[in-house]
Amino acid sequence: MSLSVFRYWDFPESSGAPAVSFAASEDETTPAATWRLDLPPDHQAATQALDMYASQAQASLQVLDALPERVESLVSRVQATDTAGLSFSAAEEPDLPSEDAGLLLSLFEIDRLAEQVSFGLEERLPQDWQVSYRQFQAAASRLLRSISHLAWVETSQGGQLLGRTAVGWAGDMQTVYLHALLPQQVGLHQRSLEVALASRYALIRLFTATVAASSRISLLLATPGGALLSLPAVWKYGNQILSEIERYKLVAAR
Amino acid sequence: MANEFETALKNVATSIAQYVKDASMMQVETHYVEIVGNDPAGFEKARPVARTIIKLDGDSETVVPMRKNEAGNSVVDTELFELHQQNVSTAIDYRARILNALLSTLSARG
Repeated sequence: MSLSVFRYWDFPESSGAPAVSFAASEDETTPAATWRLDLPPDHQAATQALDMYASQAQASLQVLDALPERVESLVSRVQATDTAGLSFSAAEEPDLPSEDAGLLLSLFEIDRLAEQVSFGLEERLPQDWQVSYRQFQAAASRLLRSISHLAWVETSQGGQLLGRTAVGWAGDMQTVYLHALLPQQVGLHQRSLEVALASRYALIRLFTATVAASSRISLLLATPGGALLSLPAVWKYGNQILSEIERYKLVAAR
Repeated sequence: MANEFETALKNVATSIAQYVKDASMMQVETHYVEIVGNDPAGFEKARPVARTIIKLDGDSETVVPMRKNEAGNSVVDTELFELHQQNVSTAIDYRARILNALLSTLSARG
């Protein structure tokens, strides 16, 4: 996942930080997801970096909160203009945002191919769909590992570890601070922890919003099983909107 | 491929339901440690500062950090306790958000 709000999470495939169990569901052989953030040595610069990450996480959550309404609006718009079903022209409306147009084109492509083949549809869908599908599967796998197992949050400043928190899936926490930290350094780890958890929550929201939106958007598809077939397209759609917001935040911060 | 994924999603929903069922308690611990450099093994020697256990039935238990003041009396170490309380607040807030997100997933999947 390229979004900066998630980029400090490391989801190892086969080995990682030692597992510490908080719950009966904990599998000690599963490597823990780890948030590693190394802040600048200068305190003001470190605070500014955390402000920016917190702002990105907050903006992502706002976008995800608004996603159901945006999808609902898109569905209503298409249904109002294309009473005979989804058509190519629906994606060519001049005032349609590019992400929405891209989503409609993907859905149109699914329906078009479904008309041509009676089985093996998934294998005949465009390469783009296959890529998005694999990305969604990988993200879902990371998400499950993230929420169902222990995660570590580590904060360093100028390469010096300040604190480490083990977070259980439901909020159990064990925090270790280095002895003799300055209060402002303790504050940096606490802030980093808040941003890490906001980012983890945003990842969960992205997943749940994708599943819900796919269910809604399937109303536009004539193909049976449309909700599942549209999952990759909706996943890509959500990521595109989040990327656009991140670009805007970065430009605004300059 | 889609059928496999649908099965996986159903398994996820079942797992989440089990997690929600099991989530009857939350524990927050705060420790401190003296380590040399960035030796991660040093974290195993961490010493406890405070612990809070919160149960969903409303019970809670907190172990607070104490120290001797100049008069030799035991008093709460306010600085450390406030630090711990900040962690407890973060944990409570996070848990509420995660549970809401998980429950909305279940309702979305029917």
